[in-house]
Amino acid sequence: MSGQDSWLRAEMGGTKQASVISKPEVLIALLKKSKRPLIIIGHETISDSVRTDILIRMISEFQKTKGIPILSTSHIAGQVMERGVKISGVLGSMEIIDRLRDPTWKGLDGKGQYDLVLSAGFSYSLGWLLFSGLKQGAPETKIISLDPKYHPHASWSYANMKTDSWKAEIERLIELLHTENTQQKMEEAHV
Amino acid sequence: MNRKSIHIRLSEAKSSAGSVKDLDIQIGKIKGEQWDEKEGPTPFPDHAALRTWDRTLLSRYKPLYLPFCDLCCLCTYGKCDLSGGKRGACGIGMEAQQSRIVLLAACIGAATHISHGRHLVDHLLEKMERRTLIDVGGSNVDVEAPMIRLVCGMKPKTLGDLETVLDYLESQMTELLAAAHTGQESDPLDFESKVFHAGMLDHVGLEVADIAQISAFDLPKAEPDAPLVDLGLGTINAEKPVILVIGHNVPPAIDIIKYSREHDLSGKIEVTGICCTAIDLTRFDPSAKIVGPISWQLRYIRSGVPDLIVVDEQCVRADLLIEAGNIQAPLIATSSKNCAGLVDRTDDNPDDIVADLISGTVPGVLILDPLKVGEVAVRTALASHETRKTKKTSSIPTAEELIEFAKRCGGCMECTRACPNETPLPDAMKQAATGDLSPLADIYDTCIGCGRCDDVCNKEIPIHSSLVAAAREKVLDEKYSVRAGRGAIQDIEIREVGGPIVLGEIPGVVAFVGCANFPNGASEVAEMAREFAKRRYIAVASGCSAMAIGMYRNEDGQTPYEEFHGRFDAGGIVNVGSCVSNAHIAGAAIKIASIFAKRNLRGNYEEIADYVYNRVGAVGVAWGAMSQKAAAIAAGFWRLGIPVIVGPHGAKYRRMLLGRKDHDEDWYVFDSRTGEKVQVGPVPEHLFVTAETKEEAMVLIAKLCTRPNDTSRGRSMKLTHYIDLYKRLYGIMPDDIHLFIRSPADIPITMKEELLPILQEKGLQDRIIPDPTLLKSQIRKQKGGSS
Repeated sequence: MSGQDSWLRAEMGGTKQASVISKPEVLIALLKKSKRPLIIIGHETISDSVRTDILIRMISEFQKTKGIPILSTSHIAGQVMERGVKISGVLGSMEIIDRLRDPTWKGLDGKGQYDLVLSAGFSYSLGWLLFSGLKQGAPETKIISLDPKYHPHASWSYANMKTDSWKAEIERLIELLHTENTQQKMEEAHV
Repeated sequence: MNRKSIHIRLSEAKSSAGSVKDLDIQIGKIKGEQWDEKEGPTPFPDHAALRTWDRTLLSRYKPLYLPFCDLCCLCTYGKCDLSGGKRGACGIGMEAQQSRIVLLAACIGAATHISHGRHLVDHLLEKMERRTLIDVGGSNVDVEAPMIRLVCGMKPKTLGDLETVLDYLESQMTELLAAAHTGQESDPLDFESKVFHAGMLDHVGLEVADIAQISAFDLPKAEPDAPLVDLGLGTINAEKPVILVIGHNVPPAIDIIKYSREHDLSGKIEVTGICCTAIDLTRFDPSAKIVGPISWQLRYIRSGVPDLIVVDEQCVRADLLIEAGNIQAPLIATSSKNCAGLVDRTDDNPDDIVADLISGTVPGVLILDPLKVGEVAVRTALASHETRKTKKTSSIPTAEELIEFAKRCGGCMECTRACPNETPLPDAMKQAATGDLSPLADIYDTCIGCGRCDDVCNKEIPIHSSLVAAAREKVLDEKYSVRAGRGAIQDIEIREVGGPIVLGEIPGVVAFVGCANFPNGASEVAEMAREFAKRRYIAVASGCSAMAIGMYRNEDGQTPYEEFHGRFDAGGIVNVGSCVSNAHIAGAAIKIASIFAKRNLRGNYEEIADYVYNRVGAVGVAWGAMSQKAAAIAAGFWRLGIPVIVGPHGAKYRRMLLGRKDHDEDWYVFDSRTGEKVQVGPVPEHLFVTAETKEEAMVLIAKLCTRPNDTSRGRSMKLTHYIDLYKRLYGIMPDDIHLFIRSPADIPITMKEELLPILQEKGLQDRIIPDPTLLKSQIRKQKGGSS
C-alpha cells in the first residue's frame, strides 16, 4: 500500500496536505516548539484492542515526561483512568474542536488556548472531519495524528502503516521520550 | 401569502343557450374559513419572516464547520481553494460555502418530500373527490394538521385543500434553491437560516403526504394498538411467488395488494418490502412483510427470493436493474423521478408487458400508472416464480464456494479502505479460507450493505455476497416484528402527557428517526430505545430506525414492540410510521403547545417554536442518518428548537450547531412574567451534534432533554437519568452537574450525599425558575409596570 494517500480511498483532502512523520525525532522537535500542547483521544483508544495497550503507554509517557494534558472524547474516560492515566477533561469530539478554534477559550486549566494537538484513537472518517474542522477553524494550530493511517488534514501524520510497523514506531517514540526525559533530569541534577 | 378566492354556486340558471343545474365553481382557497382562531403574524411565511427567530437560535448554537476538502467545485470559476481564510473567485468564504452545501442538502431533502406529497395528492385527486375529508384519527384527533396550521395558518379539511399548501411549499423551495446560486447569499448565518426554512417546509410537506395517505388509504388513524407485522428475511415464504417493493411512495404497492385481493390471490403471493414503502404498505395491509431497512437491498435481492422487483422513489439503489438481472427477476419502475432508463409502457396492454417481462425480452419496464403496476406486477410475479425455478437465481455462494473465494484473498486491504465502517474483511477472509466463517458472519451485523467492497476487489471476490453466505443461519433467523405505523398522536394522549412533559416529570421524548447508515449495526438503536423506554421516557420511532428497533429480541424472546406499549406515554415505544410520518413527531410537540397550553397555532410559528424550545424536552436521534431527506427532517426540528443527535457518520453533514456551556452569558432567557433576564444554564446544550459512540449518545439524550421550564421535581428526575447513565457508561461522575442545578431543590434526592460536596465546591446557587421565553413579544409585564 502507498503510504501517503488517504486511508479511505474516496477521501480527497485538498491543497494542503499533512507532512509524514518519518521518525519520532520529528515529534520531539515539534513538541519543543510548542508552548501549549494537548492530547485528545477517541473511543478507538479502548475499542480497538490491537492499539489499546500501546496507545495507553504512549499517552502515559507524554503525560509523564512532558506534562501534556489528556482530554478524552466519547465515553472512555473511566476505562482510560483505570489504566492509570490521568484525564484532564472530557468533552465530545465536536465540542473539543469547537473550543480549539476559539481563540478566547481558556483551556482545561484556565491558562489559555492550545497551539499543538496530538490526536489518537478516532475512526478514520470521523478523524478526517475533526482535523478538517480544526485546520479551517484554527489554521495556526498544529495537528499531529498518531494513528497508523495517513490523514491529509492533519499538519503531521503517520503514513499508512501495517500495525506492527506502526507499533515499532510508537515504541521508538516512547523510548525517545523516556531517554530524553532521563537525560534532562540528569542534566538538571548535575546543574 | 395572499390568495384570492372565488366561489360561485348556481342552483339553477337558464339562458337561450341552455340550462345549468347545481353548478359549483371554486377558485383558490378561502383562508381560515370556519376557524375562529386569531391569525398569528406569519401565515405562509417566507424565509425572511422567521429570520429573527433563526438568528436568535443561531446566536446560541453557533455552526461548527467540518469541510470534506479545501475546495469549492460548484461553478466554472473554480475549483477554488478556500483554505486558510482564502475566498473563492465569486468572493465566498469557507464557512458560507459549507453552509451553502448544507442548504443544498436540505433543499434536496425537502424537495423530495414535497414532491412526494404532490405526487400522492395529484394521484389521489385523480381517483377521489377534491372534497374527500381529511381524517387522521376520527374524533380522537381534532388538531389534524398541526404543522400546516402553524406554518400556513390554514386548517385543511379536504384533500383539495392540500394543493394550496403544496403551492406555497413549491414556491418557497424555488426561492431557497435560488439562494444557493453563485453570487447570491454570502453570509453563513443567513444560509443557516435558510436551512431552517427548508426544514420547516420539509415538515409541512411530510404532513401533507402522510395525512393524505392516511385519509385516502384508511391507514391506522392514531392507533396506539396498531397491529404487529412481520419483519425480517426469515419471515418470508419463498415457496410462494414473491414481490419486492422498494422506496417510499406507496400507491403502486397498494395497487398490488388490491389486485391480488380482487383476484383471490391474497395469501397465495408474498408481498415484501424494503424501506418506507414497506412500512406504509403494512399500514395498509398487515399481512405484507417488511424485509428490513434500506441496507437490506443487496442481501435480499442476491438471495434470489424476489420473483419481481417494483421500485418507486427515494433511497432506491441506482444499480437495481443490474442486481435484478443477476437473479433473473424483472423490474418495474413506477416513478418519473426514477425511470431507470426503462421504456415507458404506461399506455401498453398489460398482456404485452407481462409477456415481455417473462420472456426476458426486456429486463424491466417503466409504468407510471399504479393501477396498471398492480396488475402487471402480480401477473408477472406468478409467472416469473415458475420460470425462475429452472434458473440459477441466487448469487449468494455456497459455503464451499465461499471458502474457495476466500482462498483468493491476498490481503491487499482495498475492501477495508472502501468500507464506510472499515470492517476487517481481509482478516475475516483469511479465517474463512481455513473454513472458519464466523468472523465474516460477525461483519454481516455491522455491514451497511453498500457493496463498495465488491467493486474494489481485484481478485473478483463477491465480498458482500460472501458475508451473507457466511451469515446464512443468522439471515434465516431474522424473524422479528414491528408495530405498524400508527400515524398521528391522539389529542387525548397529548392532554394526558402535556403537563408531565412540560414540567419535566416525564423526563423526555426521544425520537429515533432516519436511515440505516449505522456505525455498528442496527442493534444499537434497539438498545437505546429500550434503555429510554425502561426509564419511562417516551420513545418514538419512524422509518428505518423503527425497523432497526424491531430487529432485536430480549431474553424472553420479545421484540421491543412486544415488550413495550405503543401509547404516546411514559414507557412506550411508539412507531408513527414512515419518513413522512415524522411530521407527527414534530406535530406532537406543537400539539402540546396547542392542546395542553392553549396557545394559538394559526400562523404563529415563532411563539410556538419558543414554547417548544423552552418547555418540551424532546430530542431526535438519527443514528444512521445518511440522506439529504434526513438533513431536511433534522432542520425542521432545529427551527422548532428540538435538538438532534446523529451517529459518527452524521458528522459528514459537515456542520454542527453547538452551544457553549462554558459561556454563562449565552444562557439567558426572559421571564415572561416580569421581563427580567434570567440565567438558566445550558439547556439544551446543543442543537445538532455528532456522538462518537452509542454510550455518548445515550448520555447526550438524557442531557439534551433538560429545559428552562423544568420544575425542580422534573429537573431532579432528568438529572438522575443523566448522572446515572454517565456514571454507568463513562465510569466517572460528570463534571458539569452544577450548571444544571438551579437550587437545592433540583438535586436528585437519591444522589444528594454524593452531589452536595461537589456542588458546594462549585458554589451552590439558588436561582428562580422563570416562565422562560427568548422573545420580547412574549413578556406579559414590561419593565416599568405596563402589561
